[in-house]
Amino acid sequence: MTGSPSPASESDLSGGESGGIPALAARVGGPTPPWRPRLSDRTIAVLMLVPAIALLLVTTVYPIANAIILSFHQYNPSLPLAKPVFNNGENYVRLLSDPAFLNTIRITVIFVVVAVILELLLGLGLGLLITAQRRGIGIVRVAMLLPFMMAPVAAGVLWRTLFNVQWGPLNDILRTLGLPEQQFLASPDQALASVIMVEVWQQVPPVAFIVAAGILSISPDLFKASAVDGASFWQTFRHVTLPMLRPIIAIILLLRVMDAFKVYDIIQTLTEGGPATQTENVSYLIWKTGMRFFQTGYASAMSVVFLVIVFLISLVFIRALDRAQSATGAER
Amino acid sequence: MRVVSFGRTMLRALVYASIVAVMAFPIYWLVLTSLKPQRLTQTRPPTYWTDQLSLGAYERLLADPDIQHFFINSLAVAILATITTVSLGSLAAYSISRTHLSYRVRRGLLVWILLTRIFPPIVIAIPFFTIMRSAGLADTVLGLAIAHVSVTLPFVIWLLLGFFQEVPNELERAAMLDGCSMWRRFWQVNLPLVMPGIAVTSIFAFIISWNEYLFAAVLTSFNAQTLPVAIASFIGERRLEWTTMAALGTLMLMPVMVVALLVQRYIVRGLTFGAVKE
Amino acid sequence: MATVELRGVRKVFGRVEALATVDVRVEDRSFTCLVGPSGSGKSTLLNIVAGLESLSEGQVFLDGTDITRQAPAERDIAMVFQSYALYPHMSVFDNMAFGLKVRKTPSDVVRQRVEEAASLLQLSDLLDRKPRQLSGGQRQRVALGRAITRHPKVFLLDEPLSNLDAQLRFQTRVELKLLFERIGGTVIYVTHDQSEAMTLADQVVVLDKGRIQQMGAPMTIYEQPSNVFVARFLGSPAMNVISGRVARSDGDGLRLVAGALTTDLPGERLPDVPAGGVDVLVGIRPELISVAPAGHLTWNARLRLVESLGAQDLLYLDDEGQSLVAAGPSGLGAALGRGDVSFDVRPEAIHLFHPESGDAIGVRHRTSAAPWTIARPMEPDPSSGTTDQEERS
Repeated sequence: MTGSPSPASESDLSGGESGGIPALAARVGGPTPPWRPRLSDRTIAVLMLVPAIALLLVTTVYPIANAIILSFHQYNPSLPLAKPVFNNGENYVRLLSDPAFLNTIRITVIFVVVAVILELLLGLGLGLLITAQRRGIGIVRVAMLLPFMMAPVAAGVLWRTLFNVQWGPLNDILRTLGLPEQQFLASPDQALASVIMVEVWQQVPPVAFIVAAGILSISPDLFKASAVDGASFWQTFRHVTLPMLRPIIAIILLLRVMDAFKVYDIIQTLTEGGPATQTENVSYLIWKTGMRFFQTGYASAMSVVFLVIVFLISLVFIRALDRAQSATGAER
Repeated sequence: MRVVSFGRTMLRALVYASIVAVMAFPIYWLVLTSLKPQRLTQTRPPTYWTDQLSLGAYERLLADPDIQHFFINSLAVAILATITTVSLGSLAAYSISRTHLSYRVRRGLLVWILLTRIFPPIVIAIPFFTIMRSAGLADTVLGLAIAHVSVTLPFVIWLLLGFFQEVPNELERAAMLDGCSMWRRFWQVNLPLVMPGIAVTSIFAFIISWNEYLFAAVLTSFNAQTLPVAIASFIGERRLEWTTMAALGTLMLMPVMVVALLVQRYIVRGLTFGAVKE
Repeated sequence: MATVELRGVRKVFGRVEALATVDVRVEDRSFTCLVGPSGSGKSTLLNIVAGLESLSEGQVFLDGTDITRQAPAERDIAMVFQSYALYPHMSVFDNMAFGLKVRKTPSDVVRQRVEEAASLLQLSDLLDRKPRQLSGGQRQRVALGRAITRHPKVFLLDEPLSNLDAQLRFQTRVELKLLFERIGGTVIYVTHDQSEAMTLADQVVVLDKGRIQQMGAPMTIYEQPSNVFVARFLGSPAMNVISGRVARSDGDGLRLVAGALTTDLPGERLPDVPAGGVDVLVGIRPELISVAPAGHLTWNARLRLVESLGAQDLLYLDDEGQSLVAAGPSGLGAALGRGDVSFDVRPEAIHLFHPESGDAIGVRHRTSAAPWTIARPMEPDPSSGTTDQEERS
């Protein structure tokens, strides 16, 4: 009756004799215009979605289209009067025989594979550890927050001091343990491993937190059942915990692999790609080519190839994630 | 109850202590270096502790007009980006959570949003630089904030989607029958209920923007330069001033650490794009 | 208030038919219960009236106006949800006032209406509280209050009592009945609990598998169920259904045999019985079976188990391999002891159903009163013993 009390309905309302609401309705009275929402829900829903989608289109699709177009041109924006000149796919031809580019792909793949495997294994172990309800675990958890909250550029600077051959604490610790000193970032053989070490230091804690959350979300009844069945710790881990964590491990792999491909900041401050090009990954080479040498067209071609590779790998992982989730009936 | 032997307890304490050491020692080293006198930063063996601590490096930093400028830029970019991304993201997330899209459309949309986050930022950064330059936004706080929104928006939509989906559907239906348009349901029913989620998401967006380096490096030169770029440029410019560099690193870490401790409970959710709830 | 009419309403989810073509008319100021097991389509039907669910075919009329295409917000219908769906961030007052404020009602009117409803529901002292500070019963009343303040044309209630504990549920059931009698509202009420439907409704719509099984006044449905499903769904303990056979006896009469139970039925009960007889399902309400020590009544059976519910005894009989439940007065079970007993059923108490389709067959007239009227058949719900006493006191 809130909208437009027609005469009929008004008499209905005031017809009650027991007081209370029907009696009240007569006092409400007064014709008010029929109430109606101005826009349909569907229109509003679309309007709500448009700004975000538009921004994502502008900030991703447009730059990528731009990169694809530029990748077919020769263009040096540092020259005042330069215009992009179409060069017939020459950039791509050059790319495929460019040892520097092929080398960065090799380095990127080594970096991603080694870092992600280490992060996953250490993360699983730490995740198991921090789900234990023991005294002192709170301190461990807080300590684990530190590395990954740090800006990767800052982490790079910090580890540069730790790795310092002369006066860095790492070599001092090795000396104390009676082990030979290492060259770390200064050595062509150890530089990549050192960068991976920093990446792992930063990224193991988040992996461990995710694993811990996954373990806590497994029904305790499953662990009880496993205990009643007489399973050992390792049997429980192998046959209960690990299978139940499959979707979570898939999420970790997806996110970590994608992030590891994108790593740029640490390399910038830790090694600047060196020594020589021993720690130069694709992102770094693109930056160098585009922003330092201003070969924008060539850098764009690298970007496009890199994007295609990353895109294909992501799709594989998204597929795997779908399968893992449907296998254990996890949410989403 | 099982009797736990003394040895086991000791072993566990040792494991815990070594994890804490590995995680926290570098940070300890950072803070200590920032407080040391310059001459103690390069000793052999390294100086693990000294009584001669001073806040001199911090005083110098905070008095440096350039650093002040970068600090304000960092803050301005992060705040602007956070407000924008959370506003756009919550509208979009609510719309997706309450619209009866077919499974395929919805999934396609979400995968697309996910994929935009997967793009290596360097791929977007260089064209972005060209675009920003032609739009007159190169080296401006606004331009960098827009770039940061493009980085955080997919993440924010995914994260908030989970929070909106937790609002019971019956509440939405009750509001429909109470006569609310979708817009009003968003403002008056859903938004107040997902405020904790908005807060957590904002903090994550803020941290990402605060720590972001690549776009800041590519899109800014001085006017809109932020702290991560400043610290990276120290490597080249002030190679020997380890205390100053460490102090700047500490200054950058502190605000992030404070908020991280506040939202510790929700961290996992943020880390997994909302896919895992703790 | 208003009438609601559903014409040829059909709802299909993918390939599943949630509602087969349904026609329902709800009279002004009447109380209609949609009752059925879960998955029967009763909630879908309610959501269609609310506009929360689109329909695949058919039309919905409110006061003669076609509202099929109207959004829920435009319909002037209020709903009480099973989970109450109170806005957690609003006070009780704001929860109740929200629908009015949205419709731009002047604030003095809002205040007046909320206070009226609050006093009606004894919520006046709680108006400043938040929902989380309320007990389950209080939340339920706020949900009702939110609907009442709106003065909607129709009230929809979706299992409003199912989240209350048993004792409160009975108390609230009575209050609900009184409340809506007082307001004079048109109510559509969904429940899976047949006793709620029986006690509250003017009109009961029994649904199963998306189809209306039977529609009508509660006692009519109770006494003349149109099929086995309805017969067994309404009433507690459920009606006995055993298999039997009807054959022509000498003259016009019929003879029904179901185990030991052998009785004559008047010929007009089941016309067209072939010479060889037919198989039937025999339905008998437990409270219409009298039981006595062996030899006292017509047929013999074995008493296998006695369940004492306090006010009533349930006797589980074995009638030559078929199970029969009889409801007798308290103490009867103890008096009889296990073993052989005898029982009696009056021919008027016997329902006949088709053995395959389950539809009621033949002509039946009103059931006469039970041999002992321990309780009116529809009243208590003896399956929950404690609350049964509560109800009685």
